[in-house]
Amino acid sequence: MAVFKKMSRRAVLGSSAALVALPFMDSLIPRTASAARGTEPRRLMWVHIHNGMTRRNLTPTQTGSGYTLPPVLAPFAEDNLRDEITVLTGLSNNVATPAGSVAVHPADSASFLTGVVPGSANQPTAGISIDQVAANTLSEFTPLVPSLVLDTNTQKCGDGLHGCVYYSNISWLDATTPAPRQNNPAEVFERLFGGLDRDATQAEIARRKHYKQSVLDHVLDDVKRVEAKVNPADRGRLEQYLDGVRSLELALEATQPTCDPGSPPMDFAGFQQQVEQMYDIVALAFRCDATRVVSMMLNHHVGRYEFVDPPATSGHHALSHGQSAAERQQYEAITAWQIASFASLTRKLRDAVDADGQSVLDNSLVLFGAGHDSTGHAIGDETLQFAGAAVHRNTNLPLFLAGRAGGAVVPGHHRVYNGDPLANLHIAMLQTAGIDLGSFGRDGTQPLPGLSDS
Amino acid sequence: MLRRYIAPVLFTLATPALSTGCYTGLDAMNELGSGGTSAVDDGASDGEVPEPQDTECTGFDSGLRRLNLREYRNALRALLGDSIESGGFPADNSASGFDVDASLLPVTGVWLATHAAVAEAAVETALAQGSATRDEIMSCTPASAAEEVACGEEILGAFGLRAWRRPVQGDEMNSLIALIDVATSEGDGFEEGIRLALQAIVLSPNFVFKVEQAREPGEVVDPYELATRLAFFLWSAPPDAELLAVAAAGDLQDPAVLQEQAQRMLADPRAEALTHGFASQWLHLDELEGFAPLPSIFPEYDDELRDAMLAETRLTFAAALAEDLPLSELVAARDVLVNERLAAHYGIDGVIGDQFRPVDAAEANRFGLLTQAAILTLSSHPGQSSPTLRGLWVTDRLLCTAPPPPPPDVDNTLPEPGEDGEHQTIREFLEETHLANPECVGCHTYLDPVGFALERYDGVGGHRNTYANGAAIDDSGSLAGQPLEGAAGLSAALAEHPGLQTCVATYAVAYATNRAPGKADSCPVEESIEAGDEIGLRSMFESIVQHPSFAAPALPEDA
Repeated sequence: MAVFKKMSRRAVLGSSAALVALPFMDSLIPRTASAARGTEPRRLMWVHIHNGMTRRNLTPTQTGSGYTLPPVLAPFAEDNLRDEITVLTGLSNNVATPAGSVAVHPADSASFLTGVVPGSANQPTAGISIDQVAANTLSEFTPLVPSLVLDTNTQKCGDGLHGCVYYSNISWLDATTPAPRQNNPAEVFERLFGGLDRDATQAEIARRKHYKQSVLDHVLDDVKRVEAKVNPADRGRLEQYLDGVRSLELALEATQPTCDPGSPPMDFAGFQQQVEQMYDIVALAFRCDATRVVSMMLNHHVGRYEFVDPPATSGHHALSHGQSAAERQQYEAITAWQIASFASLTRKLRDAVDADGQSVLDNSLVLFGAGHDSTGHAIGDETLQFAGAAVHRNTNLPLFLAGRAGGAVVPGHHRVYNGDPLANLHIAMLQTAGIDLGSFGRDGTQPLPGLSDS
Repeated sequence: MLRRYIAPVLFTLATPALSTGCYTGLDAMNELGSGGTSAVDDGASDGEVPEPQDTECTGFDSGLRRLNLREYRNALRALLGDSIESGGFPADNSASGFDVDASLLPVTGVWLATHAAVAEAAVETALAQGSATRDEIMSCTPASAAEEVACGEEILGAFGLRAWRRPVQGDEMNSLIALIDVATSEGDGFEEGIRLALQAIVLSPNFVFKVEQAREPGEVVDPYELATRLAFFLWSAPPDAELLAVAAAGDLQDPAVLQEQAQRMLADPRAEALTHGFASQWLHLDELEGFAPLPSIFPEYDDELRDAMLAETRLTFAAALAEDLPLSELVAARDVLVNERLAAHYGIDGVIGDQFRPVDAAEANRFGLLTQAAILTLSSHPGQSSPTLRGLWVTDRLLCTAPPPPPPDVDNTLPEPGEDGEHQTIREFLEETHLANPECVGCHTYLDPVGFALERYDGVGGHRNTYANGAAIDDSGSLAGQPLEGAAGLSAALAEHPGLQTCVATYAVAYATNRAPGKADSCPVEESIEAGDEIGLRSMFESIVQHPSFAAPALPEDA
């Protein structure tokens, strides 16, 4: 259900007010840095699906533009949403091979955005994830919230013995620190817009700022005193603390978003509403330029989908390995719901109007998909059966893009690749935001070609 | 520095399952010999078996550790009152260990921003007119501007001592007092300045972290640091006034005083934190919160039953702690602890009401910890019992000898018995798959027979005499190759197992010293008893506190 007040795209574009350039861009973007990246904001989002997706009725049989929408992609038939997405076939995430004490499912989630094989279950080590690489650069535009790291799962790990930290995190600040996740839409809203007080006078705002700055000055002195006292090997944690205090200082200086965020979301009733509220907040955060980077884990490895039709009677992971016709049907119903959810996200971003008057989606690039295929299923490759059980592979991943990235991506196509690494797609995504990476992860070597072909 | 990590007995007993390549088959495994374990990774399993060169136990390895959320909330409440709100934090990651592991407690930007907002609101609430906390904090009122410094130092000195678990130093106090001037320069009064200073104290790394002075090996931590270690270990909370007073007097390093304080604290209600912090994570009880047995198969399972299950296991641990029972008695407890709901689940008549009470376990076909419904349920699949997961739970949680996880993406789901027309029981299925497959048998011949012994309990821990499809239950099993019969046999074998106490001591030491289980060892406990002796649970915690390693300075590995 709708949480935020929405305006139709046409209504907004038709009004002259929307065409007036908003002042915030001038104050927020350092001119030197922004020149190279263009003056339009570029926004990036990644959504990860655990346990693969079925390819049955999902993959178009034709390539290029004008392909016939397969049944599962039907939600994109409405309102020409299909013109906003790119269907990707044939990409691989070969690094997600289990290693040491980490099995294949945690290897998938841990490597999806990091491009590296995770370490052991007890001493978490992955690598910095692509969303955080992007955030480290794009934070110059949105210092208050460099990125949102979202999660809609409220469960524990399930089979917690091996690699819980990898099941639960796709985003990593560095090789040993998973980025903190937020799963409550109201709390995300508070973080984005909680500091706004529209009733305060200028004098009051200045006084509060003086107080907060004075408190932070004291804290910075304390950090220095503690640093001098503790063992040098422990000082890394103080660096993090210092970064955090500096972010609080930046927050005092930063111009608040000039958009009206409306009311915070209500308490959600159930998973589906939680997901929709998250999508609403992403659209809002992008529209208000409150952040430019989002990663989101859509449900969990052991997540449940009782609400699909036919109702899922087991957890998603169990169904992803199901052998019976009933289990396959339920798994396909989950894939169909996930795709419908992606269509909802695409629509929300398309209907949101960015600061430059364009659709938010035109300025954005969203990757939605899974780090597994579904070869364990009857429609997959039966030669990979192991001990009578179904397996996942890390090739031919079900992946989709939404958005144009300001023209750097031409959507509406089904693009087929031959085993190109997922990490190259990450490199291409960052390139659209003016961030050039020579390599990324273990096997990312160049931007994935062809995304702008028409 | 090589340290004693795991008693050699664990390697010996578990050799058939412990090779990192154990799923490549028995033959290959025998060539490989023994290797590391999953839960207790000795960190030196690259073909080298660590040789004990040094019998000193290792203590803390970090002198700067962020409070975890449990500790943080306790600390904030102790400081600013029970009514403060502290929601909105990202969850702590505990990996496969405990939420006290220093390496898993970063201060991210999100965490600190949340803390800043929480601290500001909490100080506001605590200073509100009429709140009891306000009277406690605002111990004086300056009658004139000339008295402001003295009164400010009194207020901030007392508050700072509680917040930072040590006295505020002179330069720190000067910069806090300067915040009073900031408030007066804006035309606000003394109290506004105190409010700013309290915020600064709470926002300081001295509150957020356990901070310890860098020291050379061979020295000891100071009494305040020791008091802080002790309080967060036993209470997951900061030192109280008495403990701070003992630290101030400088006697805490006296073994008799330390013993007296540890015993006082273990008898205090705050020691319940050992149940909710240590036991819940050691036994994986938290897993039950996100676990949903299928309603179609287990209609009897609901939140009330789950809560009763959790309460039984937590109360059992708390009782064993209070009565100083050895692990053998916890594992093979003769009583169940039930209220009406759980008694009905166990098929025990005559228990009325929500109060938990002990009932003879034999009446309910129960044989100790392993047969408690919480443990049986959290180690099951949503639709049925899992001998493999139960075997994994027992070997990992009680013996520290879990094998590594399965090879690339095997299916760990189970067909309904009879569904595929080929097998009638889960045991038959596993014997046909795991135990007949050379790639699986290495580990599963170690794991599955442990779980077979628990097959008389279904996926939510209910007792059964046959499977739902009418098939007979064979609950003969084995532990490390030794045959045994049913849950009674397994509980008895575990109670006698020399690895049990060593394993749990390893987890307790990891918890006490804020390390990953793989970096801890049972050494402080072992050194407090004669080889082969049993130790009570409370004595185990006391022995960790008493051991010199608990007062040794933290030696970070990268130093």
